Amino acid sequence: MRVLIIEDEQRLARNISKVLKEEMSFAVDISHDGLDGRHMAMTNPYDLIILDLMLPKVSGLEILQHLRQKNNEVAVLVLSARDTQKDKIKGLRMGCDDYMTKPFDMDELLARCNALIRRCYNRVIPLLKVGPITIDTTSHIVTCKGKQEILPAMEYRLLEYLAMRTGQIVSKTDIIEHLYDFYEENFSNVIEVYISSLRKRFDNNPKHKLIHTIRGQGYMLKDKS
Amino acid sequence: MKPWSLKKKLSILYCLVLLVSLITLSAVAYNNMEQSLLRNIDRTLKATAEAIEAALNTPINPTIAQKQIEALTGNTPTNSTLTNNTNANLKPKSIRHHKKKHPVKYRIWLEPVQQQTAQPNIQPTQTETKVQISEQQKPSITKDLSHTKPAAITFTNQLLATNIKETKEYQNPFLKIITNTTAPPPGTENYYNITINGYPYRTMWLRKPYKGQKILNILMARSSKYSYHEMAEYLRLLLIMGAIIMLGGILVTFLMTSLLLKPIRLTAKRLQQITHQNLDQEHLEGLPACQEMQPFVTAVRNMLTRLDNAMQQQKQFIADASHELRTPLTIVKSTLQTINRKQRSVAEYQQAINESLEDLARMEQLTENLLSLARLDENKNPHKNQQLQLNKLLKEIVKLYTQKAKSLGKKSTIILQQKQTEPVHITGDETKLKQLFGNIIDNALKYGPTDKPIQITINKIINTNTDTNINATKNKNTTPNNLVEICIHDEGGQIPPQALKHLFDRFYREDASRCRKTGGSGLGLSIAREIARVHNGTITITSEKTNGTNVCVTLPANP
Repeated sequence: MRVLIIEDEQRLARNISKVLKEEMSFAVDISHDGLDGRHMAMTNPYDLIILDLMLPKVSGLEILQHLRQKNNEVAVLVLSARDTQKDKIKGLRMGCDDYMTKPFDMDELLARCNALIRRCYNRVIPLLKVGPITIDTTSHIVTCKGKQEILPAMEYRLLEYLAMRTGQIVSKTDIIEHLYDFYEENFSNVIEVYISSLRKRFDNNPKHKLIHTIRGQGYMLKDKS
Repeated sequence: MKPWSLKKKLSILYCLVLLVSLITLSAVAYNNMEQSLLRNIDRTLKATAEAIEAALNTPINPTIAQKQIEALTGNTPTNSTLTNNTNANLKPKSIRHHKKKHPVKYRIWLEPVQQQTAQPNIQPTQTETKVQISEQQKPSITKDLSHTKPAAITFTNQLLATNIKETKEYQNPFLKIITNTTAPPPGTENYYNITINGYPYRTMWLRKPYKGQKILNILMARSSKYSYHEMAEYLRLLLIMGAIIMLGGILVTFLMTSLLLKPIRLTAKRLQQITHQNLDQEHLEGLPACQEMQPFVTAVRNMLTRLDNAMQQQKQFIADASHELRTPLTIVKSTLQTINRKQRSVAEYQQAINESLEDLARMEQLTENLLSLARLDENKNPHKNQQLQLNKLLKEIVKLYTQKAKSLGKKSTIILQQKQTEPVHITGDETKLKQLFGNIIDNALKYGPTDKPIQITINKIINTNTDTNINATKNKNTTPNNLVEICIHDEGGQIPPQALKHLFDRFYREDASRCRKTGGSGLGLSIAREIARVHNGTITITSEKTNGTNVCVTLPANP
């Protein structure tokens, strides 16, 4: 999952980003001003944008308006010091999906981010089940046939993303775009390494394959039944 | 004391004015009416008298003359009522039998010519019996009268005819006229108002030369009862009319007052509904106020706008203040929460603590600033009134900020220039003044170019004596004689004109996002201005593209 934080207070943005990376295994981009933020939001396929309202150059509401005008359906969580009911209603009416006021609680922010992303992939509970695998997206514990495992960050990111899109063919580009942030170096063959690693862990029964390679298109996580 | 109702006031005023004018008009009208009515009677009397005179002048039978006189005066003789007829000269019945209730009463006599100008109390000349009537008639009334009341007829020289009860001569108003007043000169007449038997009469005394030697006196009275009756009617009419006009006036006053006050009443009703929550709405729309009321309505509207602006400013200030306080709080909280989520290295903990302290310092600074603003707003004079040497003070500040600039990695230097060699002394609070100049220099460092120097010049302005006098007379104490101007100049680019206006606004920053990068909260210049204000000084900013930005602080200097 890839998240964009548009926040002019650098330290705050860094803190949020740190927690999201550490605990949610998200790929996080940070933008410190409105103009740059808007450009990033429009050019990358984010799963969630955490948006401050009072930004230099372009205000948060303008970014939101711009996104919605261009039919960008990305989930937007507004994180603002403006705490009046009027501001909240205005933000929600303009198309944000959630509104949090500063000062905020980090746990609450994480829970809301999780819920928003879950909704984006039409999930109602934070548990993803594919065949024998159960992924808890809050604790990041993967259970396979009664055995609990904690995966390396990148492997977890890949498994979660494929599980979110169960039954769909996920292209390599999609995977790269949703798993890596702007500054991380990525090579498409790294994906293959992670896929093979995941296969080793969960998919060692050749008769009951879970991770399918669709030649020329990408990968698909799908239970046989 | 409860204020008087305008209705009452206006009504009373109106009534008074009306009363005075009505009384004056009525009095004049009443007087005119009386005059004209009496003049009518006078005219009739004179005409009758002239007719009698003419009748007497024609040599005819005295009986006929007597009859003519009777006819002229309205005393129709049903039976012989000739006054000069035997001794029955005074027949009260003849009067009573008249068709007219108040016939003309008269008395005609002659007097010798030598007494024409004299008073009627001249010696009686009973010897003269040359008048036609008495000539022919055997007994002269004068004789009869002289018999009965000689005193009464001392003035009657020769009575020709009379139609009046003269039994009680002294009570008789006719005789009173003759005794009490001067006789009119011959050929003229006088008019009097008298009362006979309780009735008002208009009386005329005519004196005319008669056949050369004598003077004919005709004294005639005609009842003016009807005139007075008419006048009483007239007076009643005037009173009723006056009362109606007064009542109508009061009614009109009441109606007018309520009509005039209606817009005020409606405005008051609208104003009643204004609270601090709906202050920004238009409240006086569609008010049926007349043209004269418009200034009032406009004034109220303007006042509401001003109040609203003040409210908005206050709200904005609170919103800004809370935002400014909340931001560092949010950062500290997020930092601490982030670091606390799992076991970290010592270095990480140290970093988090240092960052938190930095943010706390920012909050502390902000609360300090807010507090000092609030204290300055209380409009108190600086707590300390120290004698300060401005040059020394500025040198210290320059030293401090040069170090600060160095620590921030800026290359700008701060140069202090003095035009006068002698030190300038001022009175004020040292810490506050340091804050004032510090804030300005800090701004210059922040927004000015990093490589160009900041120049500070001190300029002592000594007013000439004449100016001092003018100032002293214009406003005492407020304009000190000597001023010192401290200009802080940097080579920064032009501040946009629209921003220049707001530079002293609290929390104002050119960038709406209140970005932290440049630091500060937007209170620096507000505080600077407030400090200048409590020191009776001013602060102005000019900014031009070519000249850069110039901040001038003017403070009163000690002589």
